[in-house]
Amino acid sequence: MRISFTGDLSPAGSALRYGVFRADMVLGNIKYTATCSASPVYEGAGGDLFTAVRTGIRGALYGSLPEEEAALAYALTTGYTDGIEEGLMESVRYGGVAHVFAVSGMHIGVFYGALAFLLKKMRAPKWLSVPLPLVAAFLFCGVCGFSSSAMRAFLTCAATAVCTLIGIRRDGIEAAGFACGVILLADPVYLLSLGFQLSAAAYIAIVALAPAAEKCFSPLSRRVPLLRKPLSAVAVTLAVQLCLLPVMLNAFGYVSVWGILLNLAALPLFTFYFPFLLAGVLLACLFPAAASVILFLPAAALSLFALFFRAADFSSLLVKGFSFGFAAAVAFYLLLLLWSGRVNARGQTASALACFLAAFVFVSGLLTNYVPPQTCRVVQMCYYGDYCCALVQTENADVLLVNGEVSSSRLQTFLFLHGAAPDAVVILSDTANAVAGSLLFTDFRVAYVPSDVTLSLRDRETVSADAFSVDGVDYVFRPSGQLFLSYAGVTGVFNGTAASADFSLFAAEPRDGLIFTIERGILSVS
Amino acid sequence: MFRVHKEGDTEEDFVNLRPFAVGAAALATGAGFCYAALFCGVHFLYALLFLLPLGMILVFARRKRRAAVYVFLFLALFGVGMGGLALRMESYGAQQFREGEYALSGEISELTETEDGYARVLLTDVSADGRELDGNVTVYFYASLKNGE
Repeated sequence: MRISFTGDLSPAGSALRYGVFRADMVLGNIKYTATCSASPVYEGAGGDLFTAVRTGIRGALYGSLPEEEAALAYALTTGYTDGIEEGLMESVRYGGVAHVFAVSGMHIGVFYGALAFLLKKMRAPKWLSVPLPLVAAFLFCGVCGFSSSAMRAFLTCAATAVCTLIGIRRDGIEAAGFACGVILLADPVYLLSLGFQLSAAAYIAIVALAPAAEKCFSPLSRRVPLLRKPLSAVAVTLAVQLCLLPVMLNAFGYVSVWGILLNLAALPLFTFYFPFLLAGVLLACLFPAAASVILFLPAAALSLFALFFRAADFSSLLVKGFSFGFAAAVAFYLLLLLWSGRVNARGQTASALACFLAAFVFVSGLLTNYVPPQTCRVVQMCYYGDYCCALVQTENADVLLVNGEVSSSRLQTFLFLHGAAPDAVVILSDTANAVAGSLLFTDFRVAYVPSDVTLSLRDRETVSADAFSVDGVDYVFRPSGQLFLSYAGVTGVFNGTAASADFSLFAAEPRDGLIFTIERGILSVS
Repeated sequence: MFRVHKEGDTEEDFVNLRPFAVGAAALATGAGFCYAALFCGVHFLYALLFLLPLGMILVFARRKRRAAVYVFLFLALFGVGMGGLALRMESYGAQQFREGEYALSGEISELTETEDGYARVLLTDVSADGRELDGNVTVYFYASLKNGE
């Protein structure tokens, strides 16, 4: 389907923005964004096959199920999580099981495995039972938008299937190497995509690290043979969580400890549930009139899922408050490689190397998260141009600057990501009370607003002033709506005009040291 | 002293004997170096510090043909990864149209709905004021996509 409209077009700019590489933009060759200023005109019908299938699934689900269940089922079957309410999604993330909505290797593996199992039971010949599930898995990847995690899983399945077909021994690491190699050859930008990083790290953990983790439990499993399988599952989950640790901390600012426990239950449940959901969705698309009956049981399970995650609070057990630097992450993975037993280092050599790497990870991680005395660092984020937050970190204080209405979950992620617990907040927007409400989850002691804004907060100090100072940084609200910051003789501007939050003035990379200078009207970072 | 091995190996090699794993690692390392050079202020020449020892191994390990093949494979794919990412970034950075109001027309490739009630549409094969656009466009507008609309 074609669409025509008059709108404002903006170039997307650099692939790296505010210290975050926008891999999805580069992979999709999205060089521009636009807003629609007049009613669009649609021409033609349909679209490509996969878009049409997704639209059909969306229609069948939203037409027959309550909105929440429909959104969950749609996310499970296509990987598109946009319809899931943010609070629920956040709880699922804190529980460490958000990957069930990402159409990951688990989905493709279960889909491929279920089809292969069915064909085996039907005693289909090898020439049919090997390629047919592969073709179906490829089409399923298409419905999921050919996401990198889905394609990684598909290629791994393909490599394994080819090994089966020609009768050579299967090798998990080679299959992972083949899948990752093909994806990176197709587009090296995938290396910087979070989905690919998580998917590849999780799979490599399963095939390379889990056996070593399993060995740690072998004395116990030898004594109690009944525990062998559960302990093996714990080892796999533990290995995956360890392998994902640097990636997760870098991307989300935390790793869920609950995830280890919940995944033990989630994986077998999902393996059982997912084929039934897929079959139900397929039937619902074919027989829309009976969709609500067909999907009754899968939807009931999703209701229970939502109820459980709404009732529970998994945010209490998170590994957070620090991030790996690049060097620490590399050393951490070398340490895991050593632990995996695939490096031929033994005895004292192995111990010495392990001690060195562990010490390196510790010291390098410490230095990454350390704000030296007499310095000030600024990190920031933005979202759809609706709001902007900046974090000003000095030796003794973290100050959060907020412009625009920002949701508390976004703020929480931002603060986790930078290991910050703000001592003070500075609110620039004219809806200060609403903004302050979304900040109450933090332990800030004082909130600063311009002198013409009244803010009332229980149990927190509020200061309405045009100029104030926090830990050596001077802040001045200007009548133009901007906030000027001065530190060690250097001044920067945080633009706070309500109409357009212009963040470009803070061009500092996250975790960059000081900071900002303005020369001839151009802000540069030094 | 060290070798990366797999079960059943008998030779005392220090390189991984799995060609696909070596290839993927080389591509990833090359692309990683390119990213560091383009966005983290690490100079491209630093890659030489990494590659020179490998090159020397290639020269000295000519008699150990298998080791030499693996080192050559690594070096070649390292270059492919590095060059590939550099080319992609070069191509992405070239955005020919300036900010402004245009009559836009394009093929709807993807429809999603954001949590604040906006629809996000990915347009491919886009033209702006009749001229072909050099990339895809994400369009935001207020609409509900529920019920498959």
